[in-house]
Formats: sequence, structure tokens, C-alpha cells
Amino acid sequence: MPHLNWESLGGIITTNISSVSWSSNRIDNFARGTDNAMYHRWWNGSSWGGWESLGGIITSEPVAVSWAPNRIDVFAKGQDNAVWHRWWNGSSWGGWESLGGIITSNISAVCWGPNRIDLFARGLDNAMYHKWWNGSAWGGWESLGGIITSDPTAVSWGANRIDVFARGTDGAMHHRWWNGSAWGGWESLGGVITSNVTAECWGPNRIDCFAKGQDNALWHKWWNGSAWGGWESLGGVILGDPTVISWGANRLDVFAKGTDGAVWHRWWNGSAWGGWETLGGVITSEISATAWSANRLDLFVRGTNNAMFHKWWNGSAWGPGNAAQTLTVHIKILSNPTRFTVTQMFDEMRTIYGAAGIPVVLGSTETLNVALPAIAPLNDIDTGTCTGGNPSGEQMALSNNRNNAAANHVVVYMCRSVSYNSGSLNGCASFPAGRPMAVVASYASRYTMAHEVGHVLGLNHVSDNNRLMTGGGTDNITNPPPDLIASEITTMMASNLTV
Amino acid sequence: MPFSKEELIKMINLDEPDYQAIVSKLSADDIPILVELTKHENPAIATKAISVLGQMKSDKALQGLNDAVNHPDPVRRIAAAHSLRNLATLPGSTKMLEKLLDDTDIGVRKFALKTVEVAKVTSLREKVKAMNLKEVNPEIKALGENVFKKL
Repeated sequence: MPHLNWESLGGIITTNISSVSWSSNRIDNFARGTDNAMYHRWWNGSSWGGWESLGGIITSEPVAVSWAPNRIDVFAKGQDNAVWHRWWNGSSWGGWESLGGIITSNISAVCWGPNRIDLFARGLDNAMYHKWWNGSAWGGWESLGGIITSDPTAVSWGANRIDVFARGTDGAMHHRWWNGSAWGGWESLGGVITSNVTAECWGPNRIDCFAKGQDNALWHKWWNGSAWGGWESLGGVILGDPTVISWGANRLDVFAKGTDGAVWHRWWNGSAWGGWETLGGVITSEISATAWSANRLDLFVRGTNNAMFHKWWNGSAWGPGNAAQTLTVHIKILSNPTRFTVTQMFDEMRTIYGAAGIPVVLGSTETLNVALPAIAPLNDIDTGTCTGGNPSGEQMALSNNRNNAAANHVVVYMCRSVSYNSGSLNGCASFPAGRPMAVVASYASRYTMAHEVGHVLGLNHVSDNNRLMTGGGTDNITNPPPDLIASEITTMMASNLTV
Repeated sequence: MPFSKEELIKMINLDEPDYQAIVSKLSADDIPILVELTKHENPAIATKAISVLGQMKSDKALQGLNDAVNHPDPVRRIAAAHSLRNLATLPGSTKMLEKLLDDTDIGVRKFALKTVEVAKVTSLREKVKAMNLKEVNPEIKALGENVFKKL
């Protein structure tokens, strides 16, 4: 699992993020803050600006579009359930202006040409409503009818063309379109979807729609210029709405939150689907994506601390690079293990942690002299209750042997046997404050060292024998090497022992 | 119906077994295979089987520890010394403990002493006193003196 790191862009946000790019190497992000005002953070090609407050009191996620370089229009629902609008004209912010209406959904905005904006939202009667900017004035709201049960999603594959999608009362995806002179539809495109629709056009007369199905898998339906294809299942188990973006003809990148809270990615390369691949993180929002040039992607999400996080594809790799956080482990040998060598155990830990983006450094290896009267009884260590924060007297005594180890280094003591009040253990990870340590028995499995150090870093047991932290015995790992999932990696990264 | 050997191995061969949870799923019919597992070539399995037998708290389980008490591998004798704390009220356990208190291995002696302390085996008070007189390791000697005082 490489590239699991995300860049924190700070802030405390309370909605999904809307990202827009009005030129190469330019990104503008919008989200609501804790004071319900709209906030803005931007990338100018060399550094991040903001967060700046754009004021207002908004009651939906903002949506931003750009119809020309150095032009941004941002929309959100206000306290009065009307649509409110702010715009950047290249030198200053205009608005807030009220665009009226009473809406009951998030807003979808699309620009099919310069100085043109079309807005869609659900009304009080659950019909879809439309409002547009024609370059000199706002038109609408016009009712486009229907009874929709999701946010509308609008896309445009050419000048004076709009396609809008929403879920109907039957759970199917429904479609209306503007052909330049009249509205077509509603037409049912079938399926039973359980999320909002996300749609993208990678070329003229081409539309790709994605949604979560009843089985929580990602489903895909597409318009090829003459007919609808699909629904095709792209598998996975996703939470919330998927996100799609295209950085070029016949290219699609789809993102969704997985059951582990991480961002997952599938892509269409023109001939086949790649993925799923995990991009890590533990997110608490939908995924916002923008592409400011070919083979470039920028993703923005809210993290568990409600800050905004960023990950990018630069054409060859995901950034930011692997975490620079490392874990330093010292080995103190009282008895050599009998089933695997210390090196095998350490290398397994280094492999598993390294794949999670946490390099493990071997701080030192020292053989403790079990002939010494004070050390000898600790070779068969009694860990008492072996519960976190409650080390036994013997563990306290053993922890005095921390040669070479800093306070934020983990010391693993290789003992002949490990016991607790109820019987024999392969290892134990309770330790005195300020002396992080684990004990590992000579008869432990090849993964026990990594498992116990996982406990030291704050991980708990899980019921999955494909994962390092299984409570079902690391001798019973079913698909080696065992996995660490994104939320576990987040916990490990948050430990003051990974620095 | 007893568990198969494979099922029992999977059940007990954990990094940090919750022995009470394991034993709650077992019956006396499982003891013969558990006894067999105390002789398993993998000490991770053998020591867990020894610990489980202790929690079974029956004469058959106690008898099943006999081989472990006399096993050449001190790791298994340590597990047996520890396991006896749950069987100390059964006839025959004292004799096993007495033997383990005389063990040449310091770890075995330590856990035998702890079992005498935890299970309050007062019949071994004089044995502990005698052991302390010849104990060479000061840590174990101090432990023995403390145990003696408590008995």
C-alpha cells in the first residue's frame, strides 16, 4: 500500500469541498466553516493562500464553477433556502447576491461556454428547477418537473448542451437534456441507485455516469454518442457518493470512500478499468477532484479532525510521497527465538510497516546477560494482567534495560517465555509510561513482534485473519503478509512513537 | 462432540489467548486431544494447551499435565507450573508443584513459587522454606521469602 500519505491544508470545515481550476496549476477550494460562513483556500501555482472567509451563512455545501480564466462563481443555499451567489471577477469578490428560489437539495452548476452558467436544484415540490445566466442576466427559476430523490447532477459535453441526472422515486436514474433549443426527457435510465449521480464528459457527445448500487458497489452507465451502455458493475463496497473526473479523452478516474474510511480509486485508461487501489486516509466527506492539466489530478477531502486534506497525481506518482515518519525499534535479547530468527521477525515487521508508509529503523540489538541475577528471572516474564497501561513489576524491572533507546523508541525484549495471569502468551505490549516496550516469547510466530509493536502504537485486535492485528493468532494469518488498513495506519501515524 | 485436533489448535494458538473464553467452549471430551497437544512439537501450541488444561479444573486435566511437568523443555515446565495455580485444590497437584519447586531451571522455580502464592498452597510452606535456604538467585530467594511469609 504505497502513497498513503495526505497533505493537511488545515481549517475546520463542516461540508464537502468544492474544487475548481480556472487555469493550469490553479486550484480554488470552497467549504463551509464552523461559523457557517463560506471559506476559500487556493493554490496559485507555487503556494497555498487562505483560508479566507467569504462570509455569509450557508446551509448547503458550496459549489464553484469557472467559465473563464480568473473567473469563479460560487453558489450555496442560504438560511432562507434561496440560492446565494458570490463571484470572483479577476480582481475582487462580488456578492453575496440572492438568486431566490426555495431549494431542498445541493446545487449543481455547469458552464457550457464563456459567460454562461446553468444551475439546478430540487424545489419544495421535489421537482427539478433550473436557473441560468446568459451573459447579461439571470433567467428562471423554471420548473423542469419530475419528482427527484437526490441532488441533481448536470454536465455539458458541448456548447449549448446540458444533461442532468437525478434519482427518481423508483430508485432509477432519470435524465433530462437540453439540445440547444428544447428540453428532452425525463427518460428513465433504469438501475436502482443509492447515492447521488456523478457524471463526466471526456469528449463531445460522451457521458459517463456513476452511482452506488443497492449492493453498495460502484455502477457505471455511459452514453457513447448514439446509445446508452450499462449498467456495468465496477465492484467494490463504497460509502456515499462516488466522484468522477477526466483529464483527457477516453480517460476517467473514479473515487469513492471505502468501508475502511479510505479513498479508493478506479480508472479507465481507454481500453480497460484499473483498480481498485487504495489512496489511504480516513475521510469524513465526499471526495472533491479537479484536473488542471492532462495527467494531473488533485483530490480534496475532510479528515477526521475536520481539516482539509490534499492528495495529487503528478502524472507518474501520487503525492505527497511516503510518510517521512519512522519508527525506531531496539531489540534486547534474553533468549533467541526458536521458531524464527530475530532477523526474520524484524524483517516481517519492517515489510508490513514499510508497506503502510512507516519505515522501521533498527535502533540497536543487544544481548542481555541472563546470567546476571537481576535479569535471569525476567527471561520468563510474568506480565500480570497484560493490559495497556498496567505493566507488571517484572515488566517495570525489564524496562530499566533501555540502553541506546530514546523515550520515543520502542524496545522489544525477546524472552524465553511470556505469561499473564491466565496462562501462556506469545507476547505482551503493556508498558510503563515513557518506556514503550513489548515482550515476545521464544515460541512466538513470525508476525508476533509486528503485532505487539502494533499494540504499542495503539492498535487493537480485529476479527480478520488477513490483518496483522488479528485476535485469531498471527500463526493463522491466511494471506501473508498480513495487512494494516488505513484507519490503523492513521492511528500509527498519530502515535508519538512514529516521528 | 469434542473438537478436532485442527480445530483445537486454531482455537488455542493465539498470540494473546483469552483462556476463559476458550475454555467456555470446551468440555471434558476435549481433554484427551489437549493432552496430546501439550506434547506438540510447536511450543506455542504446547504451552497454550498446558494453560488451557489448567483452566479445565478437573482430575483428568491435572493428570494430563504430568508429562509437561516432567518435560525436558523448561518452557513447557514453566507453563505447567503456572497452570497448576488453577488445579491446586486437586489431589496430586501438590506433588507436581513440589517437584517443580526443586527444578533446576530458575523460570520454573519462579512460576512454581508464584503458583504456591496465588493458590495459597499452605501444605508446601515448609517446602518453600527449605527451597529458600538453597536458592542461589537473590530475586527468587526474595520471592520465596515473601511467599513463605504469606502462607
